[in-house]
Amino acid sequence: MNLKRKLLDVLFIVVLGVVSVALLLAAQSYSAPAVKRFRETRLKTNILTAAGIPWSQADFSEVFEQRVREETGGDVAWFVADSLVIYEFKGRGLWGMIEGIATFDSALTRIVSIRVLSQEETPGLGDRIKEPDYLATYKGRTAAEPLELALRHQASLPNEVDAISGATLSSQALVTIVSDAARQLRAAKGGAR
Amino acid sequence: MTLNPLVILIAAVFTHNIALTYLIGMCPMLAMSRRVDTATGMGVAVTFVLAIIGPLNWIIYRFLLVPTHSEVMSFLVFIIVIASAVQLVEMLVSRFFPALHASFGVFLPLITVNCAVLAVSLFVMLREYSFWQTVTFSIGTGIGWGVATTIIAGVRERLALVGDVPADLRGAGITMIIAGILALAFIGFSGMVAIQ
Amino acid sequence: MNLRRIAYTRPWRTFIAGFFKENAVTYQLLGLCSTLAVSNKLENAIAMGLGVVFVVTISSLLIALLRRLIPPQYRMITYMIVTSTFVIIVDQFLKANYPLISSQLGPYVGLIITNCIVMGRQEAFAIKNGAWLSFLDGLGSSSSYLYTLVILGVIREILGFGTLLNFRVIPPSFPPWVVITMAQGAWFLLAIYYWVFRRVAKLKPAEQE
Repeated sequence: MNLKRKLLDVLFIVVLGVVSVALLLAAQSYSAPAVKRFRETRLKTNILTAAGIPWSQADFSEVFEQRVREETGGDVAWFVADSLVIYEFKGRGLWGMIEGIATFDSALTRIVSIRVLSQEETPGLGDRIKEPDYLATYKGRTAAEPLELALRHQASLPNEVDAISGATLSSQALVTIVSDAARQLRAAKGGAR
Repeated sequence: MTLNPLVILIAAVFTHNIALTYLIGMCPMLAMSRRVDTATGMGVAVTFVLAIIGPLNWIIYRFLLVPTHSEVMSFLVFIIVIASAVQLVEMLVSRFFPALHASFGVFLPLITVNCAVLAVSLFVMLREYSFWQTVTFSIGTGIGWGVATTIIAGVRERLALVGDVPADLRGAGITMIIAGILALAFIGFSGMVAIQ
Repeated sequence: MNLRRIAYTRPWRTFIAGFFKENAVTYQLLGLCSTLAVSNKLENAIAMGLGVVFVVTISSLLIALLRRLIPPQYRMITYMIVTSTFVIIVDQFLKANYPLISSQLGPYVGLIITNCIVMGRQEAFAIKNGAWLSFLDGLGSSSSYLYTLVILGVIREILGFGTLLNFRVIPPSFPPWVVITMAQGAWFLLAIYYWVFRRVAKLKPAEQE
């Protein structure tokens, strides 16, 4: 095979690679502002829902400005609405990141609610961690100590949460992420005082 | 992450076996599990290639993609690296180790399409492993895949001696059942160790 | 126009080969990982199936259009570059304009790019055939994947969750077959499907090994 043919072949791949990279970077910069806006909207509307504050598509931004304030302690930030503390959490699941918000009472003793905003767990099994029916089992659990999965029995203690059948790893991931979030928030809030 | 790399190695073979726990890399597993020697050959080839590609993709991710904020291209870059690395490895092995190439060289091109190879790079990225954790995870995954395929090949060979698999179930069908039983058995390992 | 004559045309035969006898999952043995993982609920099966149909048809089309330019020794890498770039661009487009759909489909994107059916059809057909036929070939094979997923999805959701498209169809007193909702248990169902399919399609059995 002659040299010219070989060089042309390599050139083809290089050109293909460069074109692909360029297209991808273009696609990313095209979608970046919209993605940012969507994430912000999703966060604000979910915080409002978690705090029990009514909102509509038209006015959620203003309602958020009025009713929710952000506080910081060190480099940790959280939201306060009425007497509730709402904290964004993010952690590793089985297949991708799990993001959500956890709502606590102002003394950080109990979990009021958990909402999962994004996850990439196994469809039909692990991704049931996003279902409100499952997340409702977190309500009332303690925020003062780490939570555990109740594996061979029904969860009864305040620091226990049931796992989803067939999705132990994803359930465990969420429990760990929520416990870590509560711990970080307690440390930051304690320091801020 | 403070996990001992050796723990990750053992876990990748048994408790978090990529083929039987995560069910990745199935197509080549079904295809290569007819005979034990084919299975082990492919397993060795996959492990060898993964030992190189896992750390290589880690380096590229850590020192090229992250600093330039181009994580969107991770998939594409990993895939290109895998295809190129496999081609390179094949060339080097056939030039410098012809005997080795004669025995498992034919498997090398098939590794490019083995999803397990890409999955390793994606998992490493997700779990934020350190370099040595990546090395042992890659090797362990290769061994785990090879072990799974070899076990299935062993069972198929034995079954072929006994004969009597229903006609329409022969080949892939009975392999699926064997894989299912094996996968169910490996569920017993779950929860023993956490490597993420 | 006599409709029966369509059955003898090359386009139809190309389409129907992948759609029926050369079923992607049970004959070509492609796309198994995702079949096992995603077919546990009908809605997931439909979403993934449609995603694969979209990607396979267009990827095959793209490769068929580029086929005279692709150097033979760089085929595999070209398939991978073309497919992953295309899928990621579509994903970015969805993220920007249909974020809700994008977040539903997010986990599938990786599964679709690495789905062996895409490369399988590109290598087996698109690299040596024209654009229209390659499109049909992709459509046939990916549709066979879609209906396989749907059939498995219906069975797995009913037996494993007692629901169908999230509507309860079996009373809660029936114990759910959790194992069939997991990929490990799905192997057995897939084996039965394989068995039945080969019977129905009158495919020749593999030799006794």
